[in-house]
Amino acid sequence: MMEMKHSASNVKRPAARGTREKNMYIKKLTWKEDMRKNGILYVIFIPVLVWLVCFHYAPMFGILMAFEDYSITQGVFGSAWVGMQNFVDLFTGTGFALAFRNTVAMAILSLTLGFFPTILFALVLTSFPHKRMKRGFQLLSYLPNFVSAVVMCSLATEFLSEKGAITQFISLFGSEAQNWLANPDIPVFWVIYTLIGVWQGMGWGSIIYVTSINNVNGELHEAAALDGANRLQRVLHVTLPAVTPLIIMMWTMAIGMVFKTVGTNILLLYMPITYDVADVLSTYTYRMSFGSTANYGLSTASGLFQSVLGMILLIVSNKLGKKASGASLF
Amino acid sequence: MKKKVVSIIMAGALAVSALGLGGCKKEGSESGDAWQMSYWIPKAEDAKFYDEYEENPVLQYIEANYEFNGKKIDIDFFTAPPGSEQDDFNTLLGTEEYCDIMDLSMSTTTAAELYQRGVLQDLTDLYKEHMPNYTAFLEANPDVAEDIYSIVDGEKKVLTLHGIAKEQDDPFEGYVYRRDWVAKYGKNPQTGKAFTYGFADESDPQSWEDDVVFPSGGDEPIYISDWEWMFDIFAKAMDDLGITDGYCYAPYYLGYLETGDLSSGFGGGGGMGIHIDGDKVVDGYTSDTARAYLQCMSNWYQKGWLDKNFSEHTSDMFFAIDTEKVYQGKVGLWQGRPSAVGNQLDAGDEYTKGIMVYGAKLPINDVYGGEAQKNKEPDAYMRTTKLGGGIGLTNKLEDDEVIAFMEFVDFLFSEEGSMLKNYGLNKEQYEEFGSELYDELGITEGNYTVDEEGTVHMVFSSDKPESIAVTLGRCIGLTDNVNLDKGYDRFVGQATSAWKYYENSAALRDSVKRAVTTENQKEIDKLKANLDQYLARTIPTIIMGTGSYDVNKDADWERFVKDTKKYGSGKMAEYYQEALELLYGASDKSAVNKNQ
Repeated sequence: MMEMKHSASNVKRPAARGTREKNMYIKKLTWKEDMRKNGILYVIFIPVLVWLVCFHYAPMFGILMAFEDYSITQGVFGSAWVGMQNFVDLFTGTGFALAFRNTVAMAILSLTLGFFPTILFALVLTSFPHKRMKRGFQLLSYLPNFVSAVVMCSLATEFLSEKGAITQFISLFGSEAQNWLANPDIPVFWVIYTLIGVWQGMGWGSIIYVTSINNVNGELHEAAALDGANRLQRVLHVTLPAVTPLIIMMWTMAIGMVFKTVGTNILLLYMPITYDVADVLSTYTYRMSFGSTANYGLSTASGLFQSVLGMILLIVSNKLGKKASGASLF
Repeated sequence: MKKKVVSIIMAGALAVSALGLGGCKKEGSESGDAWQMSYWIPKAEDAKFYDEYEENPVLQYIEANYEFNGKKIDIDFFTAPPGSEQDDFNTLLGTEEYCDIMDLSMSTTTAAELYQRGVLQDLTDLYKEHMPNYTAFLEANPDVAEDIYSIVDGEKKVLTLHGIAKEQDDPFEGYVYRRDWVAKYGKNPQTGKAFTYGFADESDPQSWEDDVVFPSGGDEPIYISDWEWMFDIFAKAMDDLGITDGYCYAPYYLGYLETGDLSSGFGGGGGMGIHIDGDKVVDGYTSDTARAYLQCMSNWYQKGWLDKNFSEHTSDMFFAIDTEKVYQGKVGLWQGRPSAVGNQLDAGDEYTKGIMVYGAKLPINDVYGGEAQKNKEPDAYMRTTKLGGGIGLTNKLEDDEVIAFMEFVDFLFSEEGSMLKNYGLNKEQYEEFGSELYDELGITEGNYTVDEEGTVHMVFSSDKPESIAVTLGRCIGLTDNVNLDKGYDRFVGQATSAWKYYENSAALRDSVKRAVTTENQKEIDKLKANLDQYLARTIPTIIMGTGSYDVNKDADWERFVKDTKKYGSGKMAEYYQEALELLYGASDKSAVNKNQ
């Protein structure tokens, strides 16, 4: 994160020069010399490496299950190879198309309606003149992140029920009192899901932006103010450009993860009557894979499919981000 | 230095405990004076009674006093962490660290498959030789005997041993209704006079009396027309009481139950779902029974008798009915438990004061569908079966140990053994052997007595956790509750009798499911996953009239049948038919109908 901040537009050149210098420095050392000089750093890195290998690379071996009729008793090597059959079952299952559509729709909403409130909140927070109140608001905004998803969803279910507080409030504008979570009309569930995500993650997600905004050079604000810029203009022309690389990096990462994250709360919120609008790839896979008997091959195939999609989106968004702002993850 | 030593010790302890997590390791002496065995069960008793199941007083009594295959037996029980039963089972199997004996209730694969993988042993030739009590019971109960088999390559094999009940357990729930509303707001359908009703003694909730008569002529609802007559009365009651958010009947949240249940009263054949009718497996999803049932539900919904939000109650793990409104006294008829019958829901408020809840039999349809769907007794209900879940003896047991364990199970099928298993230690056994747990629970005269009429009276009623802890419920054996005083009061007795009135003859029995070949089972799983999703989306909309199928229009119904069959409901029935024929053989289909 910090490296990313240094590569922001206002400090781009020194960072680039620093990288070249670093590369030149590395070239001067043999690996033995490097070991001697930085040995302790490598030792410190060992646990991280072990963790990375054990929990992120070794499990990739399990991808094989996506191509097998996996049986627990026979293991990966003993299970029958079925090629692409799990993918065929996945894609031809009833509800796949709807689940895919819903996933994409909710992903888009998460990346737009769900993404920018965090930035806005950070901007508002950093503009807040009273420190105590600012901290109070900040603390309150973090709370939903520490409450379990089950509790959050239960609260949402209560608020949105026929007699819930939010339903009562909406009814003031002439809408019929109803259980909003049972409403199968597009895009009711999608918006509700996205807003629950905002409620849950906005405060916590704003930390990184608040930190970044606070680190914007104060002299730039001073200069802009002397030039007659008002508060909004300073936000638009000083603060936002300074944090744009960070926003692009966070957005790129969010795009890469979006297929994994959409659906985390849906199991707690949906019901058969809203399957058509609420079912996403993860919930669809869950039902398909863990019905009367567990189908590990199918669930692995679905996981792989979502990972590949996420990877493609990550690469594309990274390239677009690089083109747009010059900042990129890799 | 001190810190280093502490660190090393802690790391060592961690390593040792991590090694110890690796599956079933037998404990105890290896002196050779007892058979050492490990036994995996999904669930043990509450830790307030004991930590390990081998501390069960009855098990300790048997281990101390009886020999099997020439030696005493010493069983170490292994239990899954609560909530991870299936994971634990799969992990043990996947790592080949499974126990000598495995409870298969959490298995995601069939016993036949486990046998073919070399995990389970074939007991076909052994059980008759070493389990005379078990064999005798099966011979005396041919309806159960067929269920013990698994099919391997078209051949019947005994791969599992089962606990068996002499009689089916009483249903743990069933339909219940507001008798007090019927009595207060209804009128005698023959005479038009108001009913008399009330508690003979206001302080005694057991003293309720009424002279309620239903349109069918009896004092209980028998037909769907009786239910509809009640619903009119419930609606009147709710109007009078000013209940605006109540309703007459709370259906399961999908609108139907695969087990048949209410829908099986619309022409039999098990209602909706795959069921057995005679020697045929029937696709009930698309049957005329299903249509008549859905017509009824749709009509009730349109009349406002159903909970209009029924499809939203998805959080209850059983029937997903609106329990909140039930307990508020705003529902007329629902699927309830013994704890709801009689006057037990009286909270003293305006809707529950003086409440009287009676159990109801499954209704017989006399209103909807054609003649074939009318006046047929319900034949599928969620009743337990006589045959309990199976256990498998794994390849980790030596031949002698297999025999010893079979003799142990067989002992629990003997009169003496089953008394111990079901009722625990009697006075003499307790005095002779002693038990800390019995002392702690104040069971100082043994756990049961038998009166002159042969009725067994236990210290704690059989549904209490204390009772389960002081008997041997987790081990398989003969369950004999025939002569047990269950301690029912008048209303629980009435409800229980109503719930078990009709026999469950149409449900697809476990033995048929077990006889499905591995390949067919995989196909069924795929089809079922898709079909379930389709039906879960569709059935509520049919009932609510919000979907594209109007159950009252022939063309729509035909389209529904066609669409449902596309998802393989008929194919599933064919697979089960194949299994049924494998199990019973072409010449012996008479046993098929003898479902428990």
